[in-house]
Amino acid sequence: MRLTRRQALLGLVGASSVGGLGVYELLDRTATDATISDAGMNGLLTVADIVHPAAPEDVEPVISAYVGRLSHDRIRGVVRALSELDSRSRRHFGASFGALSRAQGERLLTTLGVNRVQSRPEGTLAERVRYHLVNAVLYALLTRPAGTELFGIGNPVGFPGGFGSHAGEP
Amino acid sequence: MRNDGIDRGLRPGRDSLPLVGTVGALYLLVALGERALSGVVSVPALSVVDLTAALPVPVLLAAGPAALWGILFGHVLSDAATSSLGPGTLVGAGAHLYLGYATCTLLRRSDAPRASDSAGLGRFVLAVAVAAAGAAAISGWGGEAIHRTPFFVAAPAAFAEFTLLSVPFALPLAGLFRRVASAGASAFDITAAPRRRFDGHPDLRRVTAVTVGWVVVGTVASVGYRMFETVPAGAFTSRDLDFVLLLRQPTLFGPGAGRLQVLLGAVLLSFLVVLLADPSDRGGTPVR
Repeated sequence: MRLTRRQALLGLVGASSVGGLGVYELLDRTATDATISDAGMNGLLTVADIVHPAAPEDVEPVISAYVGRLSHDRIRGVVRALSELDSRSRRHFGASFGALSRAQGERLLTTLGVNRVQSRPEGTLAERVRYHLVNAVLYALLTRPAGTELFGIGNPVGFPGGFGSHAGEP
Repeated sequence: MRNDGIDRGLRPGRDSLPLVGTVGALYLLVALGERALSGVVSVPALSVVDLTAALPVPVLLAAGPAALWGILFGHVLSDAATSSLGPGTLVGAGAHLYLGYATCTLLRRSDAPRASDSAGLGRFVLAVAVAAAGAAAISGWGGEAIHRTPFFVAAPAAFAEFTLLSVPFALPLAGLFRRVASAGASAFDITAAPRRRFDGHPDLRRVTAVTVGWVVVGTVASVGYRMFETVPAGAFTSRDLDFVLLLRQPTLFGPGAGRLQVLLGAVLLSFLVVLLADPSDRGGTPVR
């Protein structure tokens, strides 16, 4: 049977719409673990290295403590974003995201458009990376003296260090 | 579907298996080479450019339609070898298949590429650019469908990558080594003289219009809806434009209107496939 042009077009539109929306919905509901592995922690430290100038040894305890207080849903978001970043990273650099240098990690995030999108808990990988990784790491660091002393702020907003700073020598 | 010349070449036969294997191996070699190079050479943009984007057009020009299966196989092979096999593999393979297929089909609708002929050269570059724009739109569409990158990020980058990598690698094949190129090109009837005179290449115009329309509408919608979501409601209510807020339905349209992008892409991709695979009668009938 020979298809007419209209039949072929309608068939293709139907198939590609159903297929595309099916993939969209399926991947939107992908379940992930709610625990961050060591490799995942390294990924967060790579993000911190990219977005903040603090030394890694100062950053690690802050990030660990922050991640420990996150809800299960937030941790799932972090793990999902990190695992998808790992996949892209292995394709281009042959290593997981946590093993990348600062320059390589920055290049990968720029390619994904993380510097050009709004932060969003759901959406594309770029938007989720911005929300779950970049903004989370920045929040953790900029509400602790370990992340703000480099900028001359010893008692940042959100850090419960008021008593210490008032009681100490000026 | 009337594109019988290509249709015949598409059917995989036992004799095309070595070709499929060779193209697959070429993809693997380039992917692994790119990865090795990214660890040694520190060129700012090199590490994130997918060098396999240089392969589809030259490979199809040289080897003919059977190489389409090789492109698909090569994509799966190189992604499996780099531990990045996933939904993105399908998107990448789809974009590469379209790039090669559309370039060769558009060239078939016009004339043989000639390096010495500036008009032929211009048509060749135009065909590659139009095919690259379509492949970039597929990348952007796929990026939204698999929740990887917004359309406005993926499509322009992919267009630059496909065009800049395809033209330099395909031109020598089409011009300097015409004898090699003609072996594969003849399978597409690229070098065959058309029985009827072309009437201003109408198919190229239609394909160009749909492709450019897709890239422009996709980009504007991708940026526009994301901005629209962040504008405070007061900006509309204070101007008696409350009805505009009815369009702000992220749960219905998906975050960043992802579902709408997927539907738009499905419709326009279908149009492009039909235009390429079933050209109108006005486009002339190739000799078989």
